[in-house]
Amino acid sequence: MKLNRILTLLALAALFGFIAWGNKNLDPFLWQVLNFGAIYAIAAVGYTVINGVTGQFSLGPHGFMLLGAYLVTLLVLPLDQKQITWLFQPLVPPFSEFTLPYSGFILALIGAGVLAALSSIIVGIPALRALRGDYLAIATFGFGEILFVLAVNLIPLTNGAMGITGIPKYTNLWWSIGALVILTYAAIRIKNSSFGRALRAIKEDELAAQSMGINVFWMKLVAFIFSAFCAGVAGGLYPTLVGSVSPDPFRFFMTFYLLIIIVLGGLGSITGAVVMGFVFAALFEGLRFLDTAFVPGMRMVFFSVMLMLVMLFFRRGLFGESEFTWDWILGFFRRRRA
Amino acid sequence: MDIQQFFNGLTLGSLYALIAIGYTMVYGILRLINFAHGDIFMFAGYWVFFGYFLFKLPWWAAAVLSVIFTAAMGWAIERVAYRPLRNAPRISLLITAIGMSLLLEHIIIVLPWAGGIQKQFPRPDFMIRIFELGGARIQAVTIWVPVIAAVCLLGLLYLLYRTKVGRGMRAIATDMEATELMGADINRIISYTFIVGSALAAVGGILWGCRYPALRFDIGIIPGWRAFTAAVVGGIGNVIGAMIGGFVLGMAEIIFVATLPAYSGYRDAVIFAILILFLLVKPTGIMGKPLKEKV
Repeated sequence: MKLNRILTLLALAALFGFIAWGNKNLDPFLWQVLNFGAIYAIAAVGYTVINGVTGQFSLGPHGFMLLGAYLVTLLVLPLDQKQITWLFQPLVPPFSEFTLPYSGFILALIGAGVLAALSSIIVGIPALRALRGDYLAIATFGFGEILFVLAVNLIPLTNGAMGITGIPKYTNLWWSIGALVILTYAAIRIKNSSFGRALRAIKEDELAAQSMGINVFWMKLVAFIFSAFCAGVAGGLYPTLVGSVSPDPFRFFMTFYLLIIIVLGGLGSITGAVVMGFVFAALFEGLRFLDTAFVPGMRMVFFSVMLMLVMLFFRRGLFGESEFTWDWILGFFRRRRA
Repeated sequence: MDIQQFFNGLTLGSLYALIAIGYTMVYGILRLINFAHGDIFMFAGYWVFFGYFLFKLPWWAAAVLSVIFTAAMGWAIERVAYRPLRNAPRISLLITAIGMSLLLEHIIIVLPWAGGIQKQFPRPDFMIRIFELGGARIQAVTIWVPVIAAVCLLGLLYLLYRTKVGRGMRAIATDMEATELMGADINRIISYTFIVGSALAAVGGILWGCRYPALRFDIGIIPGWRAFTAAVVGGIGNVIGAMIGGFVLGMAEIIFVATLPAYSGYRDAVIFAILILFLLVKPTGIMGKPLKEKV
C-alpha cells in the first residue's frame, strides 16, 4: 500500500516534470495531439463512469461538451472580438459587458463543468427515472441534438453556424493534463468507493441492487452529473486550444469518438479510457494520411470498422472492467522473477 | 390550410411512414434501434444515382435495382453485424448499429463517384410535372408519393397478416424464444424483416429523392430521426402505429413550418423534444401495447 502511494507520487512528479519541459520544448504537432488526447480522455473518463461503470447508456456527451465550449468562449473572448463577431445581432448581456482575464480561466472551466452538470440534472431527473437501455440512449441523444440546433439558431448567443474566432489560446498541457489528473483521480475514487460498488451493482442487475437497498435513481443521477461535469470541462478546454468554436465539432461525431475510446479501453475501465483517449488522439492525427493519401473520409471508415470489430470479437476492450494499477505492474514483475 | 400544404404534408407523412416501418419492425423483433436504417434509406438514393448516371440505365430500371440492392444491403448488415451479437447485451448491438451507420455514411464519402459533396438525384419527368388543382399548383410527385406509399403499405399489411413469413414476424415480436421452440427458423424470419424494412426504406429513399433532389451522404440522418420519432409516437413495434405516426408527424411538420416560418430552423429541436416527451410520458406511443419488463 505504502509502495503504491510512493509510486503514484513519483509518477505524478515525473508527469509534472514532463509537462514543465514539454509545454515549451515539445514539437507543436505532438503538443497539440497531447492536448487533444487529454481533452478526449477527460470526456471519456466521465463517459465511462455513466456508460461503463453504471451501465446506463447515454449518448449525450457532445451536448454537454457544447455547453462547456460555448460558456468558456463567451467568458474569455476579448471585448473587442465580441464586438466584431456580433455585428448585426448584438451579443446578449451579461456576456457583452465583461470578459475574464487569463487568471479567471480556471473559473471559466469550473463554470463550464457546473453548467453541464446543472443541465444534466434537468435531463437526468426525468430521463433516468423513467428510461433505461436504448430509450435512455435516444433521450440523451435527442438532448444533445436539441442543443446543437439551438447553437446553430441562437445567433445572439452563439453567432450561429459561422462560429466564433479569435478566442485566446489559454489551453496548454498544464490545464489539459492537470484537469485530466484531477478528474481521473476523482473517477477512480468514485469507482472504488462504496458508492462505486453500488454503481457496479446497478450495472449488473438493477432490480437486485434496488432490493439490496440501493437508491438506484439517485446513484444513477450522481454518476450522470459527474459525467456531464467532465464533458463540460473537456468542452471548455476545446475552444481555447484551437482558438475558435462552432457547433460542428460538437455534433454526434464527438460522442461517437468517445464511444470508440471507452469501448476500446474497456467499458467501465477509467484508466482504459485515459489510455485510449491519447491513443485515439494519436491515431486520429496519425491516420490523417489516410484522408490525404487516399480519399477524405477514409479515417472514419477505419474507426467505424474498428468499433464494430471490437464489439463483435473483442468485447472486453483493452482492460475490460478492471483498472491499470501498480499492483498489476508489480505482480507482473514478480511473476517474471518467479 | 390550403390544398397545396395538405398535399405537402401528405407526401412528407408518407415518406416518414415508409421509413418508420423499418425502425418499428426491427425494434419489434430484436429490440434494437437500428441506427443504420436512415443510412440505408440514404443509400437507396445513391443506388439510383449510380444506376442512372454510371451505368446509363433507364430511370425505372435504376429504381427497381436500387430497391433490390438496398434490400440486399439490409440483409447483409443484419447477417454480418447484428446476428453474431444475438445473445450479447443489447447495448453491444446498439453500439454496432451506430458503427454501421457511420460506416455507411463514410463509404459514400469515400466512393469516388459520390464523395462528400452534394449530388443531384435524377428525377423522371412524370414526377416533376406541375398541374393545377383547385387553383393550387401541385407537383405530380406530391400525388405519386402518397399513392405509391399506400400501395407499399397495403402490400406490407398483406405480408404481415396473410402470409406465413408475416405470421412468423408477428410471432417473434411477441416471444422470440417460444417461436424458436415451435420450430420456426428465427434467423430466416429476421432476415426477411430486414429485407422488407430496407426495401420500404429504399422506396422511401427514391421517392424522397424525387421530392427533395439534393443527394448527400448525410441526408439519411435527419429523416431517419424524424421517422424514428414517428415510430415512437405511433408506438414502437406496431406497424400500423408507425404509419399513423408518420402521417401525423409529416402533417405537423408542414403546419409548423407554414404557420411559424421564422422558427423553422428549430423544427428538429421540436421534433426531438416531441420524441423525448413521448419516451418519458407515453413510451408505448398512441397505438403500442405496454412492453413487459423482462427480469
